[in-house]
This record gives sequence, structure tokens and C-alpha cells, in this order.
Amino acid sequence: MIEARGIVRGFGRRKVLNSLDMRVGDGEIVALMGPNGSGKTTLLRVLSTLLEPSAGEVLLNGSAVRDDPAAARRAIGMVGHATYTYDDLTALENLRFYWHMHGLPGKEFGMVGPAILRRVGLGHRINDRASVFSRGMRQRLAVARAILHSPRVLLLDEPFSSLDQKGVDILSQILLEEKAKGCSVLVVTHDIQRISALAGRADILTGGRISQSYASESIRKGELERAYRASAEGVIM
Amino acid sequence: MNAALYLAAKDLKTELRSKEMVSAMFLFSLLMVLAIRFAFSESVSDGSVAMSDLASSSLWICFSFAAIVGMATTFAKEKDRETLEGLLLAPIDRSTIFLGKALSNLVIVFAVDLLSMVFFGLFFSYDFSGNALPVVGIAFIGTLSLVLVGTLVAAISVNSRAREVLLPILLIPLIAFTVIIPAVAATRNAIEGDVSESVRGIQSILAFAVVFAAVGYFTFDYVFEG
Repeated sequence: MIEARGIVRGFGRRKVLNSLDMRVGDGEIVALMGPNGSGKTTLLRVLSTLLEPSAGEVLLNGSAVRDDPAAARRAIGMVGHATYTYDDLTALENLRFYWHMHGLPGKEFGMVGPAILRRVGLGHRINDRASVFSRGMRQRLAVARAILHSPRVLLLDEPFSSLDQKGVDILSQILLEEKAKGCSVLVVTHDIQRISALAGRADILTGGRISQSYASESIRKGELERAYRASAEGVIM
Repeated sequence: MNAALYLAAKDLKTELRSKEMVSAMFLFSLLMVLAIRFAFSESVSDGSVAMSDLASSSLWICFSFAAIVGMATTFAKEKDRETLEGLLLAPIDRSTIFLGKALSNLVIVFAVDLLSMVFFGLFFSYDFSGNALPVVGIAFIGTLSLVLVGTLVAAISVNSRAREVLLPILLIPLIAFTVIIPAVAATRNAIEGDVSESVRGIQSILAFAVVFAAVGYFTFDYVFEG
């Protein structure tokens, strides 16, 4: 479970997040939506320890992330805008590098690494350098990197972008499997159709805080879509 | 510590494949030795410049500038290719990143140092064999000191828009009196066979290497503070 309490974060004089509270429980997929510049990526960066909040705190399973950021990073998998992969390394070497960065036992990688690449549909390209991969294939590699260490929390920033239909299906399946394992999943997305099949809740971020929250039933009824469109036009319903 | 070794191994592997940093440093070093050879060709043949003075100063000009050229890309490459955040998301201390980067820089810069010595020997028809060990030893310790402070400064300057300018501006005043001048003197003494003076120079460079290592290790957490 990951929880943000009273998070404040700004850049210069502009407050992007303003006393934001939110929680993603174990085995829950939450969609985070909002207009461009509303602070979705900033929130993900704060939750992942890449940014320090100016005020408030992030709790991971009840413990403050600030007290032990390394332990929090061990529990978090992140797919950001960038893939964080090295062009001059093969797909397998990229995963091996991050495996060691997580301090995981080297012997186990021989089984786990290729299996995860097969899971994201890159099983036939494990020894190809990332430099020859298309954007979509790099995105699949980024997903493999994020789930490599079996994280308890997955943070994904527009993960469906640049994926083809097969890639979207694979990622959706992975998110459902991680949810079934008890992982807390927070997905930043603008794709209402896609997320309505996955998320148990959708939160809309406007004005630096969660302005509206919709349960899966409301998402299916189309309430989320109307509210999301209104938020993009600056109207809060 | 293991993570630092894996990080250094990753850096060396990617560098071996791309050769971006090494090729620039190699050409830079070759050009410097060539320019010095032509500038001092008469002085060398008529003996008006002592070979120990020429070798020590030329080599340390090559070592230090090649190191600056190389170290400028240490974090810049990670930042430009958007892999730096991947490193920062790993559950390791920031000081481990410092150690790993310093180690890979040391290997690459020291390899270029050795090449520079070979170039110097070839272009000046100079045989280092009599004092190769102390000269190589001083090069190693001086380079260690250079990369320790250089890695820290490269990390500090990576988020600046003018990082290519900022790195030498911050680094050169730090290394001029602590590494370069004592290293030139120690190398000259080693070539002249004055071992005791040379050892005194090495001790001073080593002391600064320890200080730079400690400063880098304990302050690196704050360099990438979000």
C-alpha cells in the first residue's frame, strides 16, 4: 500500500501539488487522470522518491519513505516517460544490470531474466541491443525492468503510449497479474477506454489535489469520461 | 560495494562498445603530444630543455585535459539518454553511484594516460624503461585523485545548462595545486632518479585523494537531492 499525505511540491513559486492526499491499497489498480500540467508526473516522481516533497509525507505499507528511501525503492517499480534502458546493452544485459542494482542474487537471473522478457513479448530478441529496438519494444523492455524485482508498488506514467495492440494487451495482462499478487498499481493515463477495463478506481487531479474519485461502477457508466473532459476544460463537476 | 562494481562494469562495457569517450580522449592526447613535439623539436635536439622537465609537464597536460574531456560525459551521457533516473531509482546509496562512476573513470582515464606515455616515448624517441614504474605509479595516483574530484564535480554540473563550461571552471582550480603541480614535480623527480623527493610528492597527492574520496562519498547524497 502506498499513501500520500498532505503532499506539497512546487517549482519556483508555482505549487504543482497542494496538500494532496491519496492512497493505493494492496491489490488495487488506480488510474490517475487530469489535464496536461496538472501534476500527475510530479506526483509519480514524489511517490517514487525521485523528488522530495516540500511538505507532507509518502508512506509505504505504513512506514515513511523519507526514513528509508532505499527500502522504498526496493519495493517500487516505475515506468516513466523515459525507458531508463541503455542503447549499447542487449535487452538481457539491461535487465541483468538493474537486477544487480537491486542487489538480487546473480544465480537466479539466468531463469528470471529471459522469463520476464518472454512475458513482455521480447523473448526472441533478448540478445539484441536496445539501440535497434523500436519505441514500442523499448517500452516493453521498460515494463520488464519495472517488474523485474517483483515490486509491491507499480507506478506507471502513460505506459500504453507507443505500444501496439499486442503490447497493450500484454501490459494489461501484466497489470492484472500484478494486482492479483497484491501489488498496488497507480497508472497515469488519458486512455479512459483502456483503463476502465483495468482500474478499480480513477482519481482526477486538478488544482494540485485529487478533486474527484470514481469507483469502477461510475467509470463504466461514463461518469468518469464526462468529469475528465470537464476537468480538461477547467470545469470541476 | 558490489553495486559499484556492477555500475563500473556497465560503464566500461558500454564505453567499449560505443568508444565515444575513449576516442575523443585518445585523439586529444595524440594531438597534444604531436603539438608539443613540433613546438620543442629544436630545444630537444640542442638540449636547451631538459627531457625531465618536458616529459613531466607534457604528460600532465595530456593526462589532465584528457581526463576533463572524458569526465565531462560521465553523468551527461546518463542524463541525455534518460538513464540517470533509472540509476537514482535503484535501491542503492548515492555514494555507491559515486564509487562506481569514479572507478570506471579511473580505468578509462588511466588507460589513456598509458597511451599518452607511449605516444610521448614514440614522438620524442624517449625510453621510459629505466623509470617506468615510478612514473606509471605517479600517473595512477594522480589520476585517482583527478577522477575522485572530477566525478563529484561532473555530478554537480550535470544539471547545469552550461555544464561543458562549468566542469573545467570548477575542476581546474581544485586540481591545479592539489594534484597537477605536485604530480609534475614528482614525475620530474622520478625521471631524474630522485626517489625521496618523488615519494614526498606522491604522499601529498595521496592525502588529497583521500580527502576527495571522503568529500565525494559523504556529500554525494546531496548532489542528486530531488
